[in-house]
Amino acid sequence: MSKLHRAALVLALLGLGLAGCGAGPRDQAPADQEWRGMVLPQPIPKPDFVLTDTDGKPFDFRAETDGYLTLLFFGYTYCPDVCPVHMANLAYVISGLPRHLQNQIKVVFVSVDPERDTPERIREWLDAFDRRFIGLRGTKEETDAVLRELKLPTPVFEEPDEKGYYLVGHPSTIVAFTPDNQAPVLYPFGTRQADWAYDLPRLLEIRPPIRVSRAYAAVPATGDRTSLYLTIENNSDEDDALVVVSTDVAERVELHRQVSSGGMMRMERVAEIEVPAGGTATLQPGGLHIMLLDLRRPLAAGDELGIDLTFRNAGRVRARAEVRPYAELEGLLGDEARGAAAGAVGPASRARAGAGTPPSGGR
Amino acid sequence: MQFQWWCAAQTAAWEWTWRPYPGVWIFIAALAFGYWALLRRARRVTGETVGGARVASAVAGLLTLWLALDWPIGALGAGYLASVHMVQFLLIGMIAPPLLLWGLPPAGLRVWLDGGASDSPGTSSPIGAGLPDDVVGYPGGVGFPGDTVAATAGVTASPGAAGATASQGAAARGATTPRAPRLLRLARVLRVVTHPLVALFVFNAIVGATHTPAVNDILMVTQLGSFAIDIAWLVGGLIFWWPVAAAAPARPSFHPLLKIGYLTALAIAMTPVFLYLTFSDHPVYAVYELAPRVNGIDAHADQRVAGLIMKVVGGFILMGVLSVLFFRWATRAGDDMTALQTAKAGAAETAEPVMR
Repeated sequence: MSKLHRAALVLALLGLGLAGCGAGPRDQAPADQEWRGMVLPQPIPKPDFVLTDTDGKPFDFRAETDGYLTLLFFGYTYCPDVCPVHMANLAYVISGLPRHLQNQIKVVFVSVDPERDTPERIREWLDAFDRRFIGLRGTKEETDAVLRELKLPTPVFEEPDEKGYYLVGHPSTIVAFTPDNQAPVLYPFGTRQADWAYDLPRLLEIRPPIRVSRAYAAVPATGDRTSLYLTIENNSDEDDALVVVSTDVAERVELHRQVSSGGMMRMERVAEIEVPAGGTATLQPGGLHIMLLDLRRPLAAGDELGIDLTFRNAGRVRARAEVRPYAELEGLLGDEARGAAAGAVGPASRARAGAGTPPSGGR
Repeated sequence: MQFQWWCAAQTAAWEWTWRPYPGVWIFIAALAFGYWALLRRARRVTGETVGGARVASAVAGLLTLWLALDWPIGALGAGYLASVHMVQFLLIGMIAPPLLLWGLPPAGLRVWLDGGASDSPGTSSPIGAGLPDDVVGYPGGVGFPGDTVAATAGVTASPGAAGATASQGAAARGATTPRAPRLLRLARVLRVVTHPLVALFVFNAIVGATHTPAVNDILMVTQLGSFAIDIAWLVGGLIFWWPVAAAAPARPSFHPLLKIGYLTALAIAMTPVFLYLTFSDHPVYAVYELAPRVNGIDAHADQRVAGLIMKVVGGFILMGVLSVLFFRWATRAGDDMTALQTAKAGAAETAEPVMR
């Protein structure tokens, strides 16, 4: 073999090797890179707004997305570039996640172009990506108010062309609210599928140490008192306990449990309700519950009330409870409680009977 | 949409509305003019009249290039769909080069290459030297009917040489015309880079580099970068296909079976790119992933299709050429065997004493 032949053989082998070693996909991120998105110096709290969904029903953003990883995006269905790319990439990555993670994510699309984006059109457009995506619309003023609260730019409408088509300048950023209802990271246009695949599971891990959900108050049977039921998840590594509850609708609030004694059911006051690390406390009819005493105003079905819950370690947690007829709650919470108990991780909650004066709260 | 002279990625939504790319037209026109000039020069130098099939091949090569570079394939492939980008690659790097190379004037090419091998410009070149069969064909050759060449194998193209006709004399005068050292240097470079192993390396290096996400994403967003990728594919393709498809081989000793191995090596070398594109968890090219969608085609599905096109269509091209090479070789080997047996039989008949 001549020198030229030997050199050529080496070159060819190198070439074959080169063809086989393209740069790896970006999902092998450097270990020190915590997020693929744009980390905010100060997390944005989840805004509280109500817009109309594609079924024409009011959608309470904060309540409906509470506890979920919520990806909020403002766009319009006639968008030729940013919006469909964002939605397509999200849909693809979410559909590739394990089912239990998919169920913890809500994608909310808010139209900035309500003139053209009818509910039907938004639904049809979103369904092309993922039927689970939530579409919202409101008046321009309502949408602008939400954008301003999030410190995002309000839309800019271009002049329509001869066919009436116009472009809308809008924020190209997806705001990611983690289950603790804070947005620590933004995802601008240019976020790749590999970026989402890397960040989404990690965003889901950001959970509040204590999460309160399924909070309902019964329509009072007597004028001055009612019971409050809810579910408490302790996502922290240490045991915690609910020690004080307060609300502006009741003078006094007590923690109770229903016990059976001599064939009779009676209520017993408890000092605190323990929620073990990684566990759940389910307050439901026939068990642990919160009593709202000396109501300051009458409560009717459909009313909402704000409650403050104070935990021994996690401190104060705010929640909202909906007022429902007791008969309805028995079925609702009975089923949910059974479901929660079946899916609960860790030991069940316990109540500790109070010694001395049980704590109570009121305003 | 912004005006472009060459197709490059744009942020605007795709529209099925024709758009001009003058750079592509100029490039194709320049190649066509260059080909025409080459034919004229070959005719002047060697008296060669290139057959219609060769001209048709070159024209088909130019049309293939035009198709790949102009709207809509050029524009879609540059910035919207990875699958169309792959079609572009196959057209530019795998289909156009052999067609163009087949279309070149064989005798003119031979004169140039042989001159390039020599260090004495201006001396007469033995036209057809090193061509065992004829000037237009070579082992496993690609000769087309209709090619006429002034000088045939064994004829030295020097003025007044025995066997040369008047027209061949004119050809010979051309053959002895001193040529620019630049052309000679180019011919020498060509002989080196079209060495099969070097060519295999060069083409695979180009294929690997231009399909690397970082390179692709940086280059495809500028017209100059996109132009560079297209030219790299074309030049790489010409280099790769030269040992197999050139009208006059730089190295006639490249056996047909080695050519088959050569093409098989390419098929193997392209497999990692195919695997990478087809089985990546996510789209690897930002330019296509973040491009406005065309008819709702998903970026990841588009990339998988690109990988499959590379493997399946590229494989068909290679298999097609492989088959032609194999059957030509088998036919020729069969003919040679028959001729040998006939010759042996004749020799035996002559040597055998007549028994009456």
